[in-house]
Amino acid sequence: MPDFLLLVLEFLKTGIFAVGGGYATLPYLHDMAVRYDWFTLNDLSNFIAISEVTPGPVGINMATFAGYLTGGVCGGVAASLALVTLPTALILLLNHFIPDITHHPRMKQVFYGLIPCACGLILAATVSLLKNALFNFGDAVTAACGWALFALLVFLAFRFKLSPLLLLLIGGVCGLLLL
Amino acid sequence: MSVFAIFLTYLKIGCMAFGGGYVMLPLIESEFVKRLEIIEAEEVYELFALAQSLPGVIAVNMAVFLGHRLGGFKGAVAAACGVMIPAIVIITVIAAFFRRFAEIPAVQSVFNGLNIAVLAIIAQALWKMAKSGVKDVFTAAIFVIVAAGSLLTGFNPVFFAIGGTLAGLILAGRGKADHA
Repeated sequence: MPDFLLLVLEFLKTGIFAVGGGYATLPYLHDMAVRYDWFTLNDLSNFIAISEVTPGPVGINMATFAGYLTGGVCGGVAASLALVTLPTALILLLNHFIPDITHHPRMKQVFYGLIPCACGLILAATVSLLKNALFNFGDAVTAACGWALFALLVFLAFRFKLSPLLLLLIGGVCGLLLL
Repeated sequence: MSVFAIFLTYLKIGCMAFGGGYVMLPLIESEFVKRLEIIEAEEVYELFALAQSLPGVIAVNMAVFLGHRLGGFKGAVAAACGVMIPAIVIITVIAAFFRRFAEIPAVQSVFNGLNIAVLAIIAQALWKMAKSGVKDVFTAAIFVIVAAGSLLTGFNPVFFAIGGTLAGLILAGRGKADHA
């Protein structure tokens, strides 16, 4: 099954290039949603919501979800394992050869460029999710409610630093009532 | 510490950690430092800093580091499996019902709201990440160029990641606010 092999390769690649944890895998999953017909942008947004309200690492949750929709139970397990294989191998090798890797000057230089790059990639993927979440409403009233909810949630997230769980709770309840 | 005990402890942490990596640190402290008294808190923080700075899923990286420290290669594998199994099982069950469930109109409305909340959550996380990573004119330029380039071209993110790495190697130490 070539799709399955492709899935594993995509997640191997995502694992080794996604630096910064949490949403670092987002640009790569976004790329998969656009490039293949495995899952949609809407699905991706839903994975994130579900990953935040279930236990476990967000990256593993999202990989399992994406893999499941692509290739069933085996796809989910394979995507998660593929995601962690290369970083795990890297850690075991580093542990063996360079015990004090974070203080290595070369690593500092690499992360100096890689972290702002990861931020830029996440921002770009988020803009795409934003278009999907806020520009697809059926009528003007619903659209106005959607934008108002967005403004409210961003305000609560930054002004009062609400936890993801609370933001999702408010978003879900308002969505049920208004959208 | 036995390999099986490492696995069970991490299985427990994996079941309790809502929200991933950063939530896991306090759980690791309460289990391995306070309850089992098998490692010092300082050592846990050092390993966590390492786990954060390498590619991959932070929580799994941390499990591999800590498992390796406590039980060698087998310990690393046991810890990684422990932290991943609850997530994989729970998400697989949800995913199995997800498509049919998502067709219900009321559920669609809830997800429309959740999708908007997700934007606020990512913005929050991105802000924290950018504060530590975008610290001078060069890193700001990388941030803007990558964001605009990715949006406009839709190129594979890997190209940008490789470009960012090269830019880091060339530019690090030349920015004003850089103390490296």
